[in-house]
Amino acid sequence: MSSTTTCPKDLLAELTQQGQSRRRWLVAGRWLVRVGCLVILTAILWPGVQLWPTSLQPEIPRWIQTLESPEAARLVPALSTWIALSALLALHTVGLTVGVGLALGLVAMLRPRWFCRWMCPMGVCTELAGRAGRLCRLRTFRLFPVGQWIALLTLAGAVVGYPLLLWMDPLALWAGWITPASIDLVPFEEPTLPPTPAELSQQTPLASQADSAIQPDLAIQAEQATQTNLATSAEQAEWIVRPANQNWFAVGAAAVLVLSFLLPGLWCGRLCPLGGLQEILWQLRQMALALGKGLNRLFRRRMASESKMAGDAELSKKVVGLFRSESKPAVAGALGVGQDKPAGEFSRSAPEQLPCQQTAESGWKFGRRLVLAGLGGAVWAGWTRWLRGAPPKLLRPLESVWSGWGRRAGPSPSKPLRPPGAADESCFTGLCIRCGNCIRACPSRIILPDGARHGLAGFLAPVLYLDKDYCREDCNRCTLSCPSGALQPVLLSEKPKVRIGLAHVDMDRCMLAEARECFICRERCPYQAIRTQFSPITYIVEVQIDPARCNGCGACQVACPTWPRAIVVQPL
Amino acid sequence: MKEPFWSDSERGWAMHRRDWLRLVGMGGAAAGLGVWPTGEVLPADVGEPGGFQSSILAKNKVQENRANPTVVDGRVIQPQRELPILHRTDVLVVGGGPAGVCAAIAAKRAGADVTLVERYGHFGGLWSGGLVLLVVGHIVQGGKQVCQGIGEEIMRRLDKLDGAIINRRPGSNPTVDAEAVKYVMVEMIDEAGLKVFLHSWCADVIMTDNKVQGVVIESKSGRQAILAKVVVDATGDGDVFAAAGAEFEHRSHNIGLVSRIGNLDRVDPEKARPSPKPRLLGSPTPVPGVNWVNMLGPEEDGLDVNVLTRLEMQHRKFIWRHMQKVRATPGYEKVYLMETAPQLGVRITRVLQGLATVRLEDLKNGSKFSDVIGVGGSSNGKHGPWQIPYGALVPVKVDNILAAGRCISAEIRMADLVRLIPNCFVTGHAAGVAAAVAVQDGCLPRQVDVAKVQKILRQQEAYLGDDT
Ligand SMILES: Cc1cc2nc3c(=O)[nH]c(=O)nc-3n(C[C@H](O)[C@H](O)[C@H](O)COP(=O)(O)OP(=O)(O)OC[C@H]3O[C@@H](n4cnc5c(N)ncnc54)[C@H](O)[C@@H]3O)c2cc1C
Ligand code: SF4
Ligand code: SF4
Ligand code: SF4
Repeated sequence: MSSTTTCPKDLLAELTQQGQSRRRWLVAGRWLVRVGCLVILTAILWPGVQLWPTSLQPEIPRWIQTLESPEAARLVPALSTWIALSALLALHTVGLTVGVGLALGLVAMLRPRWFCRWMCPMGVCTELAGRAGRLCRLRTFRLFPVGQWIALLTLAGAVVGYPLLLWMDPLALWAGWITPASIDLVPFEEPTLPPTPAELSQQTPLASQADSAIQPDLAIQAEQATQTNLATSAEQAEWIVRPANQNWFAVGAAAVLVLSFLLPGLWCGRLCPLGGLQEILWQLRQMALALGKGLNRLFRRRMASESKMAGDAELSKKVVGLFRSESKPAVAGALGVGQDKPAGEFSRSAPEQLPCQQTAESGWKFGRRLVLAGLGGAVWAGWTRWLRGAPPKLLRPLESVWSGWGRRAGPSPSKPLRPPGAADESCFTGLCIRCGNCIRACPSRIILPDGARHGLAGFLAPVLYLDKDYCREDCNRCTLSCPSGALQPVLLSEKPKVRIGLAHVDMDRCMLAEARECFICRERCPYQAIRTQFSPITYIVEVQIDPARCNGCGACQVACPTWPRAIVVQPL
Repeated sequence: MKEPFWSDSERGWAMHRRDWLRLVGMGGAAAGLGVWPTGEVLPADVGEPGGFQSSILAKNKVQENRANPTVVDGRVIQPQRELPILHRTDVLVVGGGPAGVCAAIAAKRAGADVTLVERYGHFGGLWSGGLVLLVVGHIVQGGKQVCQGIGEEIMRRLDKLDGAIINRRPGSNPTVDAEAVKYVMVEMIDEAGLKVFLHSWCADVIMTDNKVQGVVIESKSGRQAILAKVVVDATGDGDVFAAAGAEFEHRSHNIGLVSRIGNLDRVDPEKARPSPKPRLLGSPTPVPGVNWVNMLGPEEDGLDVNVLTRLEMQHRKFIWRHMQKVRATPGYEKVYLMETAPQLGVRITRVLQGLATVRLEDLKNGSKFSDVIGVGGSSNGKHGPWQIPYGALVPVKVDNILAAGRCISAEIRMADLVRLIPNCFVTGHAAGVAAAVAVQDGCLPRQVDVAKVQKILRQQEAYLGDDT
């Protein structure tokens, strides 16, 4: 509250200090744009239309529908150059969304931190939080540019196939808090025994049978049923999803805001990896310019234009200083950095160097950082992928070496079930930025945030929970909503072929094994993947699943009247 | 003549020494030989074997009215012959299963003269003879019971008997005792005053053009005709409409053999605990300790006598051997095989191509028909009621015949609902009333005034979806 009321005053002070009416309008305009962006981006992420009753949905105006579509939601985190670059490096595919991020990356090379200054919704909030913090006389402290390191480490990880800390992207964090705010996820609850609805079984439920004193065998049956169920549910527990509390999604954004309040400017100035990446891009441009100038001098022996040189010097000074907070209070102020601090508070390098000298030194530093972060990121990412069951591509030739010391053969047993179109499990948890887009996109509400069940690396990554509903044959929303490439877009026509998992049936639990006439799974399978066939050996009708047709949608699992379910979709 | 030694002569009670010696000597000899009094006895001492009274009805009899098929050029040819007319009736119901019994009683109550023909010696069809004891399909989503009328009357009568039915609660599926069903049906048929022919296999249909005039039955009495104005085919397999040349769909389905096992109340829980529970122990019946065990069996053609024979034998072997395995399980030693069903569990064979068809689409849409004659329920209470149009009982071309029970006109996806026992009650009830109305109005069943049929059905407490 206080920050919103104070901000015009601050601005005014700033403006009178500047004494330039053009600037005044520029700053006011920029605020307008930033708040507008915040509102629009949030509205796009909000799963508004979906929450409407299906009957009303066709009547919603086209433009709103488009705005609220999963594709639009995907574009929001895709604005991040960092996410786009990581997806590009990790997946080697160029899509529309990658294009958007890269384009903004180019802009960041022309205009320093353009995205931060004009678009970032997180930036608006952190700045307001920072102003509030400064009002409370909270102070910031020195830190090296962590964000750049995070960005570099992650990009290096992406090269190895595992973008390490991608979830720290501010747009992902921003999208994240919308999930708990906008929808209630299906809470996990285990149905209680007796498992079989009376109507379906040829047998009425054990519990409702006549007094067990009269028919003691029923008591035994019930008891043994419980026993076997326990034994087998332990096996099945592997696949049962116990989701994390969805409110965890909001923790990232909340932490950033709290941090920005306590240590004004720290997030945007030092921690944000997207900001860090934009700085790196700027430095790259500077190096390229310097290189160009060097070459120019070498060949022409003369400066092409003194005035241009002066212009460059001005610009470069502005930029290098920008996030070291020694100049341009307007810009720095907009970012909530160092407004009431002496110049150079964040600075490690001497600010008054000449552009060329500075680029030479910072270029060297920058190169060293690049190599260090690259090596560190690659090793870290390789290690993570190795832990998750698949060695990174680059290290695959060495597999035989370490397969000796203890790596489990085959897929990791705790592999979770992912939404359709998911990238390989070894890199999924890295690619997934935890934006929650898929969770919000799913009309069946079957995508849930994972707990730490499949390793801490998979925390909050989407898993499928197929006990209440199934992945619809006419839906591909989640795959369209994913900005990071963790879920690859799936065409509806290809949906039958996109494997989520494979249904497995446990005939010991199937009603048919007791000659109860249940064929529900076969009837419900949208892809006709289930056959029921009498076996002359066991003398029961057995459920058979055609692996060529089953895509793991879970329609059978939802319908199966037993618990734990006789038919369960398991990861491939 | 010399008097025997025990005679009471004027000499009084006296035994001569000689007589005494004779007696002792005879007894000694008999005892010594060890043949008296069980051994070979003289023919003069033997009465009739068995002691039943049996009479000769005719001597040196030669079967009358024979017209044996002969082999002509390697082919077996049946010569023409006149059939004795066993009986004449208004409405003839063939098949005494759930559908047939309801049809016969309904037609009688609607005022027609009714005859019921059944190939076996009991009523109830698969319900009793097939040991399919669980009644499913009378309720719909929300728990409403849509099977009313005569079917519900049968259930109420079972309620009154001791040990005839369990789980008769709203919204649940009751299980009956087969013998109680047979008994209740006999009682109701008697009360209604129906003419019944049991042990009579309907072998053919009497036709003029495309109008059915009656049926030919085969029994121990030979081949005889029963003439009727309208025939209701409740044979489950559509034997009658097929013989009449009506179009049908020939389907395969799972064919199993149901059995009952006993002594489940003597399973020793302590001994049984460690080992896994044996499979296929079935579900409880009204008889304590007795379960009925369903069998799905392979999907085959239930009209092929070779199939039926093979499956009967194969299933019997499996059931016996499986029971031995159960008995070998610790704790289950006393469990035993009580009986296998007298009737093989044939689910679906022929399905009529009727003027209308029961369709899944209509169930999904909740379609309503102006010629509704009954409402079907679901097997799991999971979907709503579905109306059954009168046209589903009427063949497209052949006249004077109506179908009832599991062979009425229905899509293959609906077959497993149509064949449920309560739904067979419903279609049987309607077919009976419609046949009676056709007879009374002197019209073909296809021309029957459906409104009148509906009125009578309502009077007979059938449910036609009125409040929905
Ligand atoms: C193994 C099995 C399990 C089932 N489980 C269930 C269940 O759990 N719940 C449920 O509701 N339903 C169940 N059903 C279905 C249900 O039992 C039958 O569909 C229903 O009994 C059919 O009734 P119906 O009167 O149409 O035919 P049927 O019961 O078959 O009766 C036909 C009668 O006609 C007689 N007949 C046949 N041909 C001739 C002829 N040519 N001449 C004279 N008489 C003839 C037969 O002897 C029989 O008495 C099951 C069926 C089977 C086979
Ligand atoms: S494709 Fe499946 S998992 Fe994805 S949103 Fe649709 S229903 Fe949900
Ligand atoms: S078998 Fe089950 S999981 Fe596989 S496609 Fe069919 S319904 Fe979906
Ligand atoms: S696996 Fe299929 S047939 Fe078996 S109980 Fe489940 S739904 Fe029924």
